[in-house]
Amino acid sequence: MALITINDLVIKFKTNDGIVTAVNGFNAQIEKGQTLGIVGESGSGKSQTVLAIMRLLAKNAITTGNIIYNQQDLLSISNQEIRRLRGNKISMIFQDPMTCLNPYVTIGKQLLEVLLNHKNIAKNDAIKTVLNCMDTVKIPDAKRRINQYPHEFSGGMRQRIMIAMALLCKPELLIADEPTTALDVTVQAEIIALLEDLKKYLNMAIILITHDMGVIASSCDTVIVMYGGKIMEQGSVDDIFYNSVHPYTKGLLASIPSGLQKELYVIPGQPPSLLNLPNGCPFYERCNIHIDYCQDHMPLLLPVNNNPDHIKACHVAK
Amino acid sequence: MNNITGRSLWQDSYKRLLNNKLALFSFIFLITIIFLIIFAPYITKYPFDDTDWGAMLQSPSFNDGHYFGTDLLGRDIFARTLFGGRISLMVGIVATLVSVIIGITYGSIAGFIGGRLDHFMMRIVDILYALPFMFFVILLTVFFGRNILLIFLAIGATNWLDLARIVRGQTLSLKNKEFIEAARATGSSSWKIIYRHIIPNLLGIVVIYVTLTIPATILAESILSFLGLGVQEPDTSWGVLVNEGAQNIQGAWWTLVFPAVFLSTTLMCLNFIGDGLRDALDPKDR
Repeated sequence: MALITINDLVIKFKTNDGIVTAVNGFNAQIEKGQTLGIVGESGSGKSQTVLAIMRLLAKNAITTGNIIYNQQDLLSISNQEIRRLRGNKISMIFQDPMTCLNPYVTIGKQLLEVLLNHKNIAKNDAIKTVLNCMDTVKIPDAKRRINQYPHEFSGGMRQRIMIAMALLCKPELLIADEPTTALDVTVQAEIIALLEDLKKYLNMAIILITHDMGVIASSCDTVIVMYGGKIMEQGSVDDIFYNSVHPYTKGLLASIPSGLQKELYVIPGQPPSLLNLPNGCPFYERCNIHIDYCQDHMPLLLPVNNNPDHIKACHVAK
Repeated sequence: MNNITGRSLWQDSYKRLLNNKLALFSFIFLITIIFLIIFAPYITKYPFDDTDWGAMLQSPSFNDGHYFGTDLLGRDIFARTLFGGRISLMVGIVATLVSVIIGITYGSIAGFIGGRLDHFMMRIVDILYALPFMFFVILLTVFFGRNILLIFLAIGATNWLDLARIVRGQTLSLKNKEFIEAARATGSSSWKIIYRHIIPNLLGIVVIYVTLTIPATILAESILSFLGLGVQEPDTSWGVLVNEGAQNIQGAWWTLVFPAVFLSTTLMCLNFIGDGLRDALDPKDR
């Protein structure tokens, strides 16, 4: 039984310019202890998908479809019920640790707040839990640092605090929305390794959103490639990296700097306007193998080589 | 656990404030004035409301204890200045406190909840803004008579409007900050977010506003008293004293000069402190 099942998720935003379709039919299952990676360029709907799970979408969002967790639809439960899940069973780490902590409140108080939101425990016990958690995410000298303010921590340390905050209540699902984008490369590696350790330790599922194919390769079980609000290809890490068939996935992989190429590969063209998405494949304009049929007919997600775990949405690629 | 603490933004600000000589000097000066006012009965030789027909409009002299001279009714100006300061500062502090409490609560709720409630609450503020202050005070005195409490009420009730607007504007920009979304993502309710995250971030602005509002309310009280709408005899305030002094300026300059010096020095000190705090609390100044 999957931890979370997302069925036909469609997210639209009412704006002054018209209806913007951010996510256009997203299906996925996340199992316990599994890491799901979502890649795709900016505006492909990755972040909106996970924000929908947390029910943190902007007020002008219209959602259809459902997100099933524990036999209830997260999109239709009451505000109070979703608040009980947030930070407790489902946690989230944001992209920029510099701006996600309140500059006027000590990190100890901010961590305590999360715990006391959900657990009915004495303050002393809560402080002990917070200190333990800070040790777990390897913040040295936790006892001293608990009384410090966010500006006294480095970027990597702040991201550790964000992780500690997300893990305090031992969630079943951790959503990491580009957790390493704002950090430098060595710190990135440390944070990813830390997430890996904690995942095993807590047996939780992780949804990892990133632009970084290296991060995907090193830490994910399943990968979803998104483009124009749709899933283009989905499969195990090996499927995506070694046997990818979709032209967009191939383009993405070709754009990774390897040190051998003289010039970096670039997928030509621009992503489609989300204001009026084409009827057919959103990648049609930029695709190097498209046929006329693609323009008006959206391909279904079909298995590649009869492998039900590796699916792609393309009429042409085999 | 509390024996080792980090340097907070407040501590940083405090240090920077201490480095601002003008603000520091103003602060010490203000404290001195407040001490004089609090311990007035032990310092002055005469009660503030005791008329002495043998000593009308006496010029300042150290020999008989009328350090600042006496007024038309033979009352000691020194005593009256200190006692007048009690009313003036009390109006300044109490009215400001009232306006701060109402202003923060009102503004942060309007800004954070937003939407229709925000529109509704802000239109109420607009309507109250349109009501002329003097008209409001005259109306109150006509209905309820002259009463010092009415002055608090009138000044407090008009001053919170400014703060509510400032706080609302700040809240609007704060609520889109990522740490507010992060707080939501950890399951905090709207109320908790307002008092745990929004209000601490507003305090810098509010502190500055307070130091600028206290002089404004003292001035407002002075104007009201000057017009005869303020405190009643024999109670007095700096505004009343300046008014009386202005009438006796020919021949008895001391009845005007001493209260006026106290009033303007206090206002200047508060303005300098306000300026200093504004610089000290600005994180970009780091």
